[in-house]
Amino acid sequence: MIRYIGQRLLMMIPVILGISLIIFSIMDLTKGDPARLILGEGATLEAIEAKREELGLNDHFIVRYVKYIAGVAVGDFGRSYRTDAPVSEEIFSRFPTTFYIAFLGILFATLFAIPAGVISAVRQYSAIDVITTVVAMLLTSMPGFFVGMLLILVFALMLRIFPATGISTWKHFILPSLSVASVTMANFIRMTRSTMLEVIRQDYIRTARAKGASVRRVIFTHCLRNSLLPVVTVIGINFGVQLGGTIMIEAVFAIPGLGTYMINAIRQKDIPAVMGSVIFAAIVAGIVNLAVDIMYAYIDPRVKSHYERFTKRGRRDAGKA
Amino acid sequence: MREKPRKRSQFQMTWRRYKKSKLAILGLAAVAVLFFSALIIPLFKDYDTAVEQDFSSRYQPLSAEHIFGTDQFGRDIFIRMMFGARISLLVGIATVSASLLSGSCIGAVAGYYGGRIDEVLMRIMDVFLAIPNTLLAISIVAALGQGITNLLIALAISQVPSFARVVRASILTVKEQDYIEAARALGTPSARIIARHILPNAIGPIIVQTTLNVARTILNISSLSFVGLGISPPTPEWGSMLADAKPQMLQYPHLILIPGAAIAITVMAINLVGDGLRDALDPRLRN
Repeated sequence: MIRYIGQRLLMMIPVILGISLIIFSIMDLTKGDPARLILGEGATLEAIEAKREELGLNDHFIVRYVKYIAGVAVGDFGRSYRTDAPVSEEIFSRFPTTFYIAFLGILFATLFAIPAGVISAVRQYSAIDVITTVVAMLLTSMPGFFVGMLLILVFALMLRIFPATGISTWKHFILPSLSVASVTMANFIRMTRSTMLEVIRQDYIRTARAKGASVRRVIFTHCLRNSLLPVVTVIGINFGVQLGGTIMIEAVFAIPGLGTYMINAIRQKDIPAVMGSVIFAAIVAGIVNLAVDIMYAYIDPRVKSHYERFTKRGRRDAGKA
Repeated sequence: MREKPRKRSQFQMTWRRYKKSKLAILGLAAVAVLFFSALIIPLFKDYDTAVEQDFSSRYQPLSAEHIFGTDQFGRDIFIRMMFGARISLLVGIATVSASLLSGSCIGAVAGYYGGRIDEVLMRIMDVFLAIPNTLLAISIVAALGQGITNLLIALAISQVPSFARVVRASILTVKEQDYIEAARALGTPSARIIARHILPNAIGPIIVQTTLNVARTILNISSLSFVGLGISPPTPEWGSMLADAKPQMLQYPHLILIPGAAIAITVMAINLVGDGLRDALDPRLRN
């Protein structure tokens, strides 16, 4: 198992190198001189030239890229052009905010979607099924920021139950999390419903019913456990993506999270900040995906036995060498 | 010439399965109405009426003269919505066509030739897929600068990998069929085999993906415009209209409800068509 985790982590390295190269090239194409951005419009040509030299901007593209990657390898993401603070510090100070919103959002979505998906599969074509399907359809078609605006309009401006912007109390996290939930929920519902429908038609479900197991028992122990696997994947992937910053939703609620950081960095051509946050988002998504794959082993014994075989074979091969 | 009747019957078979779903028909009707009205609106109203500000008629309520009222600059919201539909549909379709074309080429080459070419191309696609879609689009827009063309390029690039994967997967399913072998034995050039024999037989999932991507692109256009990185005012774009109206949404809720509903209805209609096509084209449901 540990060997497997190690291999998966190693496999992330080329992906992250690729991502950083793509973003680095894109940012390199961006118009505007970072040195001028730092020093302001009034700076003299000599000062700008000195700053360019100091930042290493006069080096060749490849030299700059290799230097940057060498820094990242030892955990140094460089300093922000705008605030001169280390990018890693800025990212870590904003991460908790984004984490709470993403976590609560995915939690709300899961708590609602799995029961809804199960019920609409068990009672296929019933009124509940139709309503759930229509709601899921509607939610996938609405942009997250629009859902956020509707929530602000109703719960913050009209009813005054929750605050509209900011992050000072727990109440501030409710509406943004609900917006995240609305964006992700539809996917979860559809996935739960379709895998449940597939599993319900399997022979072993009929066998279980024939042997006298109650409907409740068949649904909860036989169906749900078997159909949960693809649902867990979808939930995991979505969580990983949301952790990288929910740009639009953070913009609606004026939340100083990773998404806001990223978009401001892109606007201000703060290259180290952009690079740092994109690489961070990719690493987080990769780790969450890995965690989901490991969780499989605990949900599904078939996958677990596969891992064990994988590890044993690995050991044998290592022994040979 | 001999191929013609068979082709039509295949289309008819798909259509027969498609029209079984009421929702799919509803979606198709809504898409048709949207397209038609977006197409003919310039015949009735000048584009300038959607942009020119008239401070004497700000914030007018819904009336016979202004069906959806007027906005904070006194512009008729209905006309702006119509021109907004033009922009969303136009940019959406252009974007998806561009990424479909380039994605198909990459996916077809990777799937058909396999081996090392496949390995290299798909690894590159995987790297692109690992970057969140909107984030990639935003960075490209930041690099190229704002504007409709640059937005189109950015969204197109960010979608290429998803098409490459679908096309590659579809090609792998038909590549090993006997008729491909036969065509190869007859000495047909590879490009012709891909274009004439493989793609037509693997087209189902690609059509579905294309439809769903148009819907997703329309969402992305409005999202990027909402944060000020897409199409900027005064161009009547739904997302930037939402951003404009946000400060006064309590006093004038219709200013956000109408563009929001327009996005949701358009995206939902296209999604319904996509789902309907998926069911109609899915070989597992065929007898």
